[in-house]
Amino acid sequence: MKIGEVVAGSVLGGLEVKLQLDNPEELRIGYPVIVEGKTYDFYCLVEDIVNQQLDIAERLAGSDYKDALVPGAGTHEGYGGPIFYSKTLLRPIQLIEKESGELSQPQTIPPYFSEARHAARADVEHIYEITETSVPLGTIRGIEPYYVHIDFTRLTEKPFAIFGRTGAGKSILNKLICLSVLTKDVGSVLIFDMVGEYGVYSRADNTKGLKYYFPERVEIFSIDPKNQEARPFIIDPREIQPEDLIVALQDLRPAMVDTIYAIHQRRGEKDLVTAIQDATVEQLGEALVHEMSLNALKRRMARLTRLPFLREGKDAFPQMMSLVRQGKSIVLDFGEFGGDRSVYLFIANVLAHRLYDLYTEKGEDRRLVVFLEEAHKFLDPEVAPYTRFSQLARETRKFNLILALVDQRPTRVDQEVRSQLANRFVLSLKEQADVQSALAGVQDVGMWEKIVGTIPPRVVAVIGDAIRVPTVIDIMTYDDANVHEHVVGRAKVTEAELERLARKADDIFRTGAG
Amino acid sequence: MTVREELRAELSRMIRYRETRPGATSLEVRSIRPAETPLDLVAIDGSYTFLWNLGSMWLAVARAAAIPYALTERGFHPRRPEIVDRAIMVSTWDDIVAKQDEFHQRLFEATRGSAEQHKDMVNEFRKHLEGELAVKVARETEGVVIALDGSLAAVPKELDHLEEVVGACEANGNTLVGVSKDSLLHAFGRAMPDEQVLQSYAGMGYVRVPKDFEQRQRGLLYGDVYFARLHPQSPKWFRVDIGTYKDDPDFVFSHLAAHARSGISPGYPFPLIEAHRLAVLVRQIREPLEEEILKECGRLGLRVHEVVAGLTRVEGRRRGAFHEFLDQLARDVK
Ligand SMILES: Nc1ncnc2c1ncn2[C@@H]1O[C@H](COP(=O)(O)OP(=O)(O)O)[C@@H](O)[C@H]1O
Ligand SMILES: [Mg+2]
Repeated sequence: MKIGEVVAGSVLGGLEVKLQLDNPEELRIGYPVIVEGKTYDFYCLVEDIVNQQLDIAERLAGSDYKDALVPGAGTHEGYGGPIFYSKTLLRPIQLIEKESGELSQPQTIPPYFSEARHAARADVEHIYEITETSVPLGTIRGIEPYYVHIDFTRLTEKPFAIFGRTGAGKSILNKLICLSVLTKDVGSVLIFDMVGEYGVYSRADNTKGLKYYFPERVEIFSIDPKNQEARPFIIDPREIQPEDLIVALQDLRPAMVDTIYAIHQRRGEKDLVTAIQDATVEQLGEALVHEMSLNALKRRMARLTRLPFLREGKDAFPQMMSLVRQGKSIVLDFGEFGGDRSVYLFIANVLAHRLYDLYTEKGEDRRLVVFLEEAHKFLDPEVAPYTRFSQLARETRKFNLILALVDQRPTRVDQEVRSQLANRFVLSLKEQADVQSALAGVQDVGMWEKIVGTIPPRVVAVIGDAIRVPTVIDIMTYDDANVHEHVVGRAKVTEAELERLARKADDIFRTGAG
Repeated sequence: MTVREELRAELSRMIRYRETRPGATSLEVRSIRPAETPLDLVAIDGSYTFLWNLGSMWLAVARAAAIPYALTERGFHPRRPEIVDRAIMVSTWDDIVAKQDEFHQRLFEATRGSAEQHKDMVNEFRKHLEGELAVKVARETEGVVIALDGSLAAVPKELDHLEEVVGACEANGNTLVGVSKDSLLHAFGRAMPDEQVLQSYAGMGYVRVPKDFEQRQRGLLYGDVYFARLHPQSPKWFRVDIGTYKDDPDFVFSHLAAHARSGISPGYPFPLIEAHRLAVLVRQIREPLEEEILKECGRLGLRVHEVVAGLTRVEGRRRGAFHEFLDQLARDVK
């Protein structure tokens, strides 16, 4: 359907279209629109919608029309369309050559009076690709339902991020993304599950988790010993490095940092934690440590040493990696420790450290995507220098280890890490600074800032090389029907379902027999 | 006497003289009910602009525009307008006119004696184009209202098409009206123009001017002359001349009033506004036409500054004319 004609435009500034809609509310920011040029169809997104200043409108405003026809786009058409018209600013993001269907960057503009119309299924079908490893996350906004595919091989080749304010739908979107990674088996995932949303059921909103859909391919580890259903997460103190403590303890004075390194060098057979507990000034010498720093350090360490997961035993890391090599994915449930800054920093850093060493030194064949919920907790500019995460983000794309961030405050994620992102899923953000941080470096950033600042929850702007053109997507409703139909597929689930039923029957049978 | 005292004295005289002619006819205002399913209405208007002046010769273009409207409950919907653009050279000097064709000579004769004859000639030409277009529309459509801008009076008679328009409208069952934007008529025999006399009548309605007025105008008038307020919120009464269906003014006004229901201009038919906007757009093609003049005159051997000096404003005054300089000065020192 025709919605208007081009009346102005430039390659850099976008196209201005005089609308002939009775009601501008039919259009929204981010909707796809086709402008019919001579050689090309210009695939555009709505960047802005404007009722411009009109003298006649100012003169008429406030009039009492009684039985007169109220002036408006629908009631008063003139020789050039509606007398009262709105305009829209369109941002061309792709050219489609009419004859060949070939795609190219928008390096030109269409002639005056070129027709603009709502994009139709047939237009977007030209643009989006469906590949062996693509999965839809929802439908494109502003046209009849069309499921837009994201390519998950591409996505998991480089770091990416999901940004959006609290309640925007990041975690649900992330579940769809993780389920897609698992469905297409383009790698394994490791999730730092800070609030227990990803296991079988979410403790936050009771939605289904990864293990619900892939019971055989997802393992849950829990830091919280009270969680009986998960495997216990244990860190062997012998694996602890000085940096782990520096990050976990935070705000250590330089003297204390020096003390840690001094003890580390002279710890002999002991693990670092025990070595600090046992250390004395006499043993190390006044030259290296001071009484005060050592005691302060010990007091700070006391909290860590009381943690249930820091004990000798079957270290979780080798277990996790062997599961990953078998093609499984891992949810690391922080339980009640998700809110304890020193704990999660400690664990995260220990794991990051080991992952980094493993993937960069030895090399691993199985791709692993590490999802950091509340990523700013690990990538805050203040702690970033001490964690391996910024290094992970920067260096590991060549090594099959990919970082994925989920966060509500992109401003608080280290800028250097953000600059590594090859794909961004940006949901609603309200703070101007967050909007800017989330979109820094994106093409047509002005338009995207407007879009991201105005979209409702459960709508996401996807920008990056995993999708042909940047797109605003209505995330599909997260329920069994949709997940089966569009993401994990029917057959697989039926199989899993059968298995589960079989096991249930087993249980019942056994209890019945016993 | 100071100027203030003089002013007050004159004002009191004006108020006293207002009702000079006693026994003026009492007005019989009839009510109007807007038609529920209005006929389509074709509005016709015209405009012109001068472009270039050389001695006693002026070059101008005139436009006539007709725009047909359908009116539904949802609003005003136009169909494709018809536009006629024509260029013309008029001269106010007999010797040159003598070399021109018979039509130009008629234009010249019809306006002889006017103060700014070149303007009146082009204006007559504009009316001529409007008339031709009205004849065409009247012949090609049936059962519509044809609304012309202005009265249905043929002055000057020699150049007029009204007789033909009326004939074609009668043949095709079209309703012909002429709506005057501003009228200084004194048909009701008051000191104030009729428009103002009627101002005190509230509500919508129409009233015919006294017979003796039409009698005096006989021969020039092609319609019956009324004043009408076509919408209760109309800011004024408009003179409306009815050219066909003269025996059924209720019918004519009900359809005309339906088209005068726009909130933009309650009481004035909206299609006439569009026809007017379309007509004055002729001024926007001045620029390309001026370029054409520059090129063509160059080809004909004129020097650029001579050509430029002849370029005129819309009303035909040379751009650099001295009085314009004075006007400008008056505005600047205000
Ligand atoms: N696509 C979706 N389908 C169904 N419910 C959703 C969807 N996205 C979000 N929700 C619901 O909205 C709420 C907030 O979503 P969540 O993903 O937890 O937001 P965030 O992680 O950004 O804070 C939750 O209750 C969630 O169930
Ligand atoms: Mg969340």
